[in-house]
Formats: sequence, C-alpha cells, structure tokens
Amino acid sequence: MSTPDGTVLIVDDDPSMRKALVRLCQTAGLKARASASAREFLDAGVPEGPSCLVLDVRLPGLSGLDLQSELAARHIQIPIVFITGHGDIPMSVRAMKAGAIDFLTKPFDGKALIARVREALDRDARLKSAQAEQMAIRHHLNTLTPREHQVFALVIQGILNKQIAAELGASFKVR
Amino acid sequence: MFRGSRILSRLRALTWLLAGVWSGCIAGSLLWNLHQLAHRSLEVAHLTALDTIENDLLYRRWASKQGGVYVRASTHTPPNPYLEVPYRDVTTTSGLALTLVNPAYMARQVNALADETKGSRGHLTSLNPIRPGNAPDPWEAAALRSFEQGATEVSSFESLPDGERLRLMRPFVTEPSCLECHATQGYRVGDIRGGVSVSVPMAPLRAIQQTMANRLAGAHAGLWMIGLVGIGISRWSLGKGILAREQASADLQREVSERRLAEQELRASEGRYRDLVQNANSSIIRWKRDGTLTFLNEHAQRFFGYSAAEAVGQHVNILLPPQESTGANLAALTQDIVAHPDRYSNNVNENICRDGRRVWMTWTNRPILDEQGQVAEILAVGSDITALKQAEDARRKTEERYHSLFSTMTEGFALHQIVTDDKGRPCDYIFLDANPAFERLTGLARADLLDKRVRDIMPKTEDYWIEAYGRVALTGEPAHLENFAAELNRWFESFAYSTGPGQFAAVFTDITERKQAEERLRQSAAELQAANTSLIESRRAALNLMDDALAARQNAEQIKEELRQINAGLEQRVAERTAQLAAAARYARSLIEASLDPLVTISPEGKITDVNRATELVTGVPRAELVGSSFSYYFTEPQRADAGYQQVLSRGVVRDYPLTIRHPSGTTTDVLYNATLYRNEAGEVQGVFAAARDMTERKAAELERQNLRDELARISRITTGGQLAASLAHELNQPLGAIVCNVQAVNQILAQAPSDLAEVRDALKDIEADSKRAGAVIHQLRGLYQKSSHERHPLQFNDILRKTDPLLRNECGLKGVALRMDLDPALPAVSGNEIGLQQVVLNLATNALEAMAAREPGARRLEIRTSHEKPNMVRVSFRDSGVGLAEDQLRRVFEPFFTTKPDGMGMGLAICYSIIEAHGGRLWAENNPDRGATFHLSLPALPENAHEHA
Repeated sequence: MSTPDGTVLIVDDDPSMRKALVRLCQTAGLKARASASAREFLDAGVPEGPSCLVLDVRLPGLSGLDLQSELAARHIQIPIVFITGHGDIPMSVRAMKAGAIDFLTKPFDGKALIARVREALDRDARLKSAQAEQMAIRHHLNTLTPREHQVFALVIQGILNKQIAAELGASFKVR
Repeated sequence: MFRGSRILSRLRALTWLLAGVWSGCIAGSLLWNLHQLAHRSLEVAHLTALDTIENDLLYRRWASKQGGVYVRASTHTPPNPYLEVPYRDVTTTSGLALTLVNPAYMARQVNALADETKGSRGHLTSLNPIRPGNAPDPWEAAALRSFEQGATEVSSFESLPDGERLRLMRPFVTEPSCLECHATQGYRVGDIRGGVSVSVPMAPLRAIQQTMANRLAGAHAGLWMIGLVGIGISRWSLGKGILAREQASADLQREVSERRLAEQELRASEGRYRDLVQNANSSIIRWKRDGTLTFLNEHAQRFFGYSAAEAVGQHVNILLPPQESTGANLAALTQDIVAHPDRYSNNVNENICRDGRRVWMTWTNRPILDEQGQVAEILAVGSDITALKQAEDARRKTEERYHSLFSTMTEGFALHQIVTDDKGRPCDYIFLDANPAFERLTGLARADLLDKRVRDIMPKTEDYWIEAYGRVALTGEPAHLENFAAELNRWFESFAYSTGPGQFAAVFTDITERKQAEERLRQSAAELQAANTSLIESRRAALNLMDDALAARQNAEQIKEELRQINAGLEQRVAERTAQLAAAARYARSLIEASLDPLVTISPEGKITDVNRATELVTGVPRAELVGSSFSYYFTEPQRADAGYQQVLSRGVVRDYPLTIRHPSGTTTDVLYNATLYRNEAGEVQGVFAAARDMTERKAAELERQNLRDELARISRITTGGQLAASLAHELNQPLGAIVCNVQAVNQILAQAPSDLAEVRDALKDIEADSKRAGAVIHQLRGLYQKSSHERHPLQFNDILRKTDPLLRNECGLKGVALRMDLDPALPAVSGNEIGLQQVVLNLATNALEAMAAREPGARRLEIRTSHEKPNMVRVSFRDSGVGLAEDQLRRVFEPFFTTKPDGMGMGLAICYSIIEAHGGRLWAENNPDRGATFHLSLPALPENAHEHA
C-alpha cells in the first residue's frame, strides 16, 4: 500500500547510505528526495503534500539536531525520524524531547524504518488536512459581518438563540 | 628373754597355752583317776558287801538245808528261845548237850564275829521279826519297805558313829528249806521275809584309796612338772632359734634389698650405656684380642652395612682393606693395636664397607683388660672423615691452580688494607696484593703497588673510591661501584667485599667504552632504564647469592666445628688444618666464583680441569660433567676453539678471541676469550687458563629493548584505536546500514510482481561495494592490534593519508575541526612499514585535535601537507591552530612519559619518534608564527627507479 501524496526527505552525508535509503523508499512505493547536508536541504525547501524527514545526526556543518531546532524556530512542522552511526542516550533523549518520531541507530532494520516513515507521513497528512480545515474555517470567519461576529461570539458561549435575541434585541430567526 | 618380736610374743602365748593345756590334761587325768579310785573303792566295798551277803546266804542256805546245825550249847551259844521246834535241844550219848542253831542264829553269831574282826556287819532282819532284837533300824526298815515295792537291792553310804560304811541290803527270799521252821509264820516260797543287810567299813578302803590317790597325785604332779619344764626349755631354745633366724632373715632381707638396688642401678647404668652406644653418632665396635668382633652399635651396623648377627664372630679385618689407598699395608694393624693399644688411642686409617666402599675414619681405641691385666678386648669409636679428607685433598690440588687463575683473570683483582684517620674514618688504603690484570689496568707493577698507599701512588684517586671501600672494609658489607677514576682517565666497575676486619678485596673491570655506549643508549628512550635496572638487579642478586654462598659456606663450617668438638684431640688438629686450608681456599675460590665471566682451566691435552659457576651457567652443563671433557666441545665452532687453544700453547697468550658457546637448550653465547698458560713451581706447563667476556648480554639487552619498544608501540596503537573507537564504529556502521537498507529494498522489489531485476542487480552491486568498505575498516582496525613486523616496503605516504582519511574526517567532524589535506602528487616513494606510519599519522592527528580542544569551534583547523624536500627527503607536516608549545617543550614533548594531559600516558609522541627514527627519518615540532604548532616528519626518499605504487 502506498500513500498517494507523500515524500520522504532524506538527509545523510554518506553517498552509499543516501542511495540505499532512496532505493528503500522507492521500492516501498514512496517518493524520496535526498540531500547531502542540512544547508542543501533548507535550500531545496519543503515540497507540497505530506512529507517526513529521515535525518542523520552527524552532518557536515549544521548537525541533525541543530536542523531540528532550526525547523522548529521557523515553525516548519515536519515529523522527523533520526538515524545515526553512533548515538548515545543524551543525544536520543534530546531528539525525542524535541519531538522526533524515533531515533534509530545504524545499522537499523529496514522494515522498521519504513514503518516509522509511513507513520510519520500519515501523521503529517492528518496534520495537513487539519490545518487545511482550519484554514477554511478561518476564511469563513473572515466573511462574517460585525453583527454576525457578535452573534457568533454568543453562540459559541452556548447561550440559547432566544437569549441571544434578547441580549442583542433581535428577533429569533434562523438563517 | 628378748622382747619386741612378734613371733616371740606369739611363742609366749603358745607356751602359756601349752602349759595350760598340759595342766588341764594332768588335772583332768588326776581327777578322773581319783574318781575312778573312789568308784573302785565303792565297787570293792560293794563287792565285799555282796560277797559277805552271799557268804552269809550261802552258810545260811547250807544251814537251812541241814535244817540247822547242832552245836554245843554254851553260854555263848544258848539255845535259841525263838526257835520253837521239838528237836531243838539234843543230848548226845556221851552226854554232850547240843542245841540246834538255825541259820539266822548262826548268821547272827557269825556276823557278830565278823563284826569284831573284820568290821563288816551283817544283820538279818525283817519287818516282822521273831526275835525282837532282829528288828530293823530305820534304814533297814526303809529298805525292807522298798523290797516290798519290788526293789531287789538297796545300798548307800551311811556315816555311822564309827566311820563311814557301805550298807547293803538284799531281800531275803524264802526258800523251801526255810519252810521247815518258818512255815508256821505263813511263809511261802518266794516270799520276801525281810532282808539281809551288811555294812562294810569304808575306812580301810578309803585308806587304800587315799594311798593310791596320793601316789597318783604325786605321779601326776611329777609328770606335770616334767611337762612344764619341758615346755619351758623348748620355748627358750625355740625362742632363741627364732630370734637368731629372724636376725639372719632380717640380715638376709637387707642384703637382698641392697643387692636388688645395686642390681637396678647396674641395670640403669647398663641401659644408659647401651643407649649411648646404640644412639651414638659414631661407630662403636668391640673386638677380642684375637680379632673376633663381639659388638657393633647401630651406627656401625648402618655405616658398614653389616647386621649385628652378620658381623659378630667375624674377624675385625673385614672392615679393613688390605692396603690403604695411600699404599700403607693394614694387614698387621689389628694385631699391633692389641699389642700396643696406647699407640693407637687416636688413629686415622682407611676402612672398607660391605659394599666395597672405602672410607677414611678416625678411631679412638681403648683396651679392655681382664683380671690379669691383659688386653681382653678393644673398644673402638670411629667417625667418618672421608668427606673431610677428600675435601683436604681436593683443596690441596686446587690451591695450586687458584693462584694461577688469579694471575690469568681478565678482571683486575687487588687486596687492600684500609687506613683510617684518628676519628676512625677511612682516608686511605694500602695494597696488599694485586693480580696481573690489575697491573695491566693501572699500568703499575705489582712490586710498585705492594705496601704502598693509594694516595701516594695514585694521588688523583677520588674520595668516593676510598669512602666506599672504607665502608666495605669496616662494615663487612660488599659494594658494587661504577665510578670514574681520574688517575687513569677510565671508568671502572668494581665489586668489593671484605676479606677480614679492615681489609677488602676488589675485582675491577674497565667499563669506559660501555659507559660511552650507555650514554648513547640513554638518550634514545627511557624505557631502556627498566632493562638496565633489571640487569643491575640481577647482578645485585648475583652478589647476594655470592654472599649467601659465603654465609652458607660459613654456616657449613660452623656445623663441621660442632661435629669436631665431639672428638677432641684429632678433630681439633684436623679442624685447624682444614680451617687454614678452607680459609685459603675460600679466599682463592671466591675470587674465581666472583667473576661473572666464565673461567676455565684446560689441561695440555685440551680437557677441562676446572670451571667456575659462570662457566656452568653459560654452557648449561654441570661442573662434574665439564671437568674431564674436551673444552672445544662446547663451542659452535670447535675447530676454531682448538685453533685458539693451540695459539695459547705456542704463543703463551691469546687476547679477545671471538667464539660462540653453545647451550644444550639451543641458545648460544657470543664471547671474547682471553687465555694464558699456567705453570707449576718447576715451571712446567700444566695447562691453559681461559676467561670469557660475554657479548650476548649486550646483544640480548638490545633485542629486549627492541621488543619492548615494539610492544609499547602496539599498545599505543591499540590505545589510539580505542581513542578512535567512536569514529571506527561510525565508519563501520555506515556501510552496514546501507547494506541493510539495500537488502530490504531488494526484498520489497522481489515481493512485487513483476520484479524490477535491473534495480535488484544495481542494489546488489552497491551491497558488494559497501561490504568491501566495511572490510577495509576492519582490516585497518586489525592492523592496529597486530604486532608490527619491521618489514619495510616501498610505499607512497599519500596513500597512507588517503587510507586514514575517513577516520580522520570523522574525528575532525566530531570535534568540530576543519580538516584540509594538501598532498603533493609528485611525491617520491619511501621505504616504510605501513602500520607504523599509519600509527604515526593517527597519533599526530589526534595530538593536534587535542591541542585545539580549548579553542572555539570555528577556529579549529588541521592541515596535513606532503611535499618533496629536495634533494631526497619526503616531508609531511601536521599544522594545527591549537595552543602551541612552550619553548622547552618543543624537544621534551617527544620524551617518554612526558604529557600535559592529566590522564595521558605520554608515550604516543615518543613512540612516533622512535618509529620515524627507525625509518631513518626525523620528527620535530615548531611553533607557528600565528597560532598553534606544526609537527614535521621527514623520511628518506627512495631513488626514482624503485618507485612503486603500493
């Protein structure tokens, strides 16, 4: 099974690792895009649709964990699965506390990685749809007249229509 | 009589008892006899009475039968008025008047007659008498009455006015003849008509009885007296006898107990004597004058090998060999001892044991004399002095050699007497003796040395020599010195020990060259110190062993002293002699054994005659085997050894002749030989003395050093490996992780239908490449752990840097260091050991990284550059931007154990230094003009035609 829209973003400085990860995702039916460093990734930007990050901790220049903080600072919410050649507990704790999906040490189980990635994409999809919904609501909200805003404010407080009418001096009418 | 004896008192009691019994018997007998007498009197009286009655009755009966008797009537015998019978009175024809006398009348008259004469009275009476005068008296009346009751006789003693009388009465029984006259009274036959009573005077009987009784009493009394006297006498004599016997018995007992005591004592002393003899530590034997053995104690039996049963009875000559080893004839020895025992009170001779073993023994022979004062037996006590004698002989033989050994030693030897100032501090010493080697070392002749003070003949002698030797001489502690002697401008190693109070001996070796070599060595690495220290330790240990041997020897001497004290006299003589010889031998032998160089004496035929301990050690053959064997046998090149030996014989001396000694274990020792001839007092050649100087120690030390260095390098590599563990792990995990992903991808492809096989093939190629990559890392890791060979191959330094690049990049990445490699493409090849050079690169790199740890992340830079330094060197530089080095540290940083890190070992750079040095290159450090330091290494380049891509 495959998620129709979903890109796996891979960041690892080791070329053979990158190639293997791309192959892994593609053969699992996922779209994949690889970068050799954090800088390269940021320059490339985030694609449309749900996505997730498969991120090596040890990178030239900005490290994986630093990238995690940077994304959070930029309010870019992408679920992250960390991979590393030599991890230690403080590192993994820091990553997880900062909101990573998982923290795997190389050599990791390929199936496990795919599972985590799917999970991450799923989450991202849900998040994005929720976000879209919110956008729509906001848009609708923006089309309300000031008077309608007043009514809206009272409605969401749970006051009955009659009371609202009494409050605002309008008659009970349902549009 | 004697008192106090129990037997005597018993005897007295017995005597009294006997006397009592005797008296009792006598009295008893007397009484009984008297009684019998009385009874007899009674019986006699009774019989007399009966007799009288019978008589009476008889006459009466006759008379009765006659019908009475007619007698002449007279006044005396008037007719019986009571007899009323017609025919009572009769007149004979002749006119004689006769009257009839009836029995009673007759009886009466007879009785009255009897009464007048004899005294017995008879009386016929009845309770109803015709004649009233016949009436009974009361007694008779009573008797008559009892007859009527049935009694047949009544008798009793009555005391009448005229004395005692026995009265007897019998009943008068009517008989037919009585009836003639008494029928008118109504008598019937068988009737009891009165009785006849008789009384017999007892007085005559009693008189007779009395007489008899007196006689009896007298006899009895006499007998009694005799008896008592007899008892008395026998008691007296018995008593005396008992006392005498008792005395004798007491004397005997005393004697017996005395004797018993004496016996016990004798037995005890015998026992002690036996114990002494049996447990003695010497052999004790006894033999008769004819030579027959009578006794061997336990020790002798064990020693000679004969049991007591086997030896006793044999001739004592079984213990003597016919001829002593010295040639003396022992055949007459036994007889001579018997003849003149005092000459042999202490004697030394050879004996022979059962197993044929010859032993030397010292005997004390004592004669045991018989009653005539002749020698009956010889008591001999012997101790084994074979060992002593052999020691004596051996020492005498070797004494001759020692002096020449002394002359041939390559080490200088000298004996000195210390001189102290008035405060007792050593300030000088006098030479007492010196050997030729010493003469050579000092350039002074022995004659010029003897009795001279060192300050006079070698004024530049340093105080430290004198102080050290002074300590040795005064405290007795040996010393080992290595000092410079300005006088001779050489370095000397000397072993000094005290040979007596205030004296010391010293063995010198010129170590100047060695000292110089040591200085060079010391500069190379400090780890050599450890090896050197152990060498000194073993030397010291050897000295200690020497001391122990000396002490043990002295100890052994002490024990021998104690043994000697048991046999005074002779032992003392032997002890003195032995002590002298031992002292001389110790003196001489200790010189020889003190030498660490193997010393050996060789006979003219080329056979070893003596060796010291060092020779045993180096050849690995014990002394016993060495002596007598061919000396050239122990070399790897026996012919060369022989040739050298011949040289000595022809030229008299050989110096620094190189040879190799072989050991059974396979090891060989390279030595230089110095040898001279030695002669006896007559100047004849006795053989050759040879001393060897060991070269392999130094070579071995060198090898040891090399091994230690290699090991240290290996450990350092491993440590480096540990330090780089993180990077190495990372380096491995990358390819492994990629492999796993690729495998999963392949699985996923194959799960689809149709499968993209081209992609599969592609993936497999990647897997293969990654596997090889992982393998290379493992290989690199393994290289760190292996022992390095020292093989060198032509290689490119750039390749080494490329190989270590991933690791270095990882490390730099971890530490936030920017790495730059600047490799000269036209770099010449070098001859090197890949592992060693890799180690150097890794070490220098990690060193640089550590130096930059304190710097801010952006400012950390490591630059590695290779270049061709004309004309023929390859230069590699490691430039860092760290803290740099202080001026004095630039050189010191390559010293072992130098570190600025609290937990550092300080070996890394030292090892790099020695590796590069071993490659024939140089390693040094410089401070950068701006910041940090640069480590440079340069290696000799291989000529162009040897260039090969490794």
